[in-house]
Amino acid sequence: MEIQLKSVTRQNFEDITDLRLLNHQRDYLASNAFSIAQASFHPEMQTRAIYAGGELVGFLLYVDLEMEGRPGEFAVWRLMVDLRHQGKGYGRQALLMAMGEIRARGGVRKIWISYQPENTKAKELYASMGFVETEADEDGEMYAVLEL
Amino acid sequence: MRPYQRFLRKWITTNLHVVTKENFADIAELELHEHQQDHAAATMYAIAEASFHPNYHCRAIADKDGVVGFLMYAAPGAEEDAGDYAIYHLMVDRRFQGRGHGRRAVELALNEIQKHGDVQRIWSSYRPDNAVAKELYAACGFSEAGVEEDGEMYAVWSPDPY
Repeated sequence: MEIQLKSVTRQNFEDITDLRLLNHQRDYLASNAFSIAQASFHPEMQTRAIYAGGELVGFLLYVDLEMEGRPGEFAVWRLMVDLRHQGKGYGRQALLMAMGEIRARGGVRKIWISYQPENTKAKELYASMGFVETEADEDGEMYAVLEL
Repeated sequence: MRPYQRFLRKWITTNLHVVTKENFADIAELELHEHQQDHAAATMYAIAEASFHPNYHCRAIADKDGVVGFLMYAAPGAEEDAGDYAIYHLMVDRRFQGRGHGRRAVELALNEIQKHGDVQRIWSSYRPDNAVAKELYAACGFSEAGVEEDGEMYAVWSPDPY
């Protein structure tokens, strides 16, 4: 299935806010409505809708950390795939495409990702893609990094 | 106006602020009572939606110490009738309810909307069983126009013609 990342627009944003997670996954990350709202005030944040074969299946958000005084570093702060489309490899493919977009900006040294430590699916996925765990912050969120 | 409302007017400040990256996090943390939870998710949806619609205006409701609530108003878009405005997504945090913030915020929004200059009607809507909203909008001069297919009661406010 061909995966595409597309911009979030007034045409697709309502469908993005309707994407659902499994009950136990809801505490793992902020809602898509929150993420889209937040990104509207932060030009350093990029939101993307994930499409598989033309159908909307997920959402991700990445951020340029230069404004935090960390040039050359980016972070994927949100990545979710709708519960009906999980387990098909879409998250991995979408993350690879986002990393491609990020690297295309040039001069990128590090890509960060974060997740709740009990989110084992996320932990395994990111580890298999080369992300190395660092440490959790005071809220218990785990940070992993890919050095380029 | 009842005596306690006069008291509230005198001692409780209510302002409307533009939603920005500085107050966004406070808005995201506003809490509602259990039976009002659908409205809490609606606030984030409204801010997201407004980012794609330049005619939607999000406002934080604030007292002297910080954010206590949220509302959005819409100027007519390309598909709406000229002169038709609407107030949506009014909410006051459960910890600050009952102090007159909602009513004062709607009055401030009515004033702000009228500055657009071409206002003929300002609409609002609420569930017909929402007694608090019904009383609040009636006190602000809205008249009920009827229940639409979506099950919402629509109420309308018109400026004084003189």
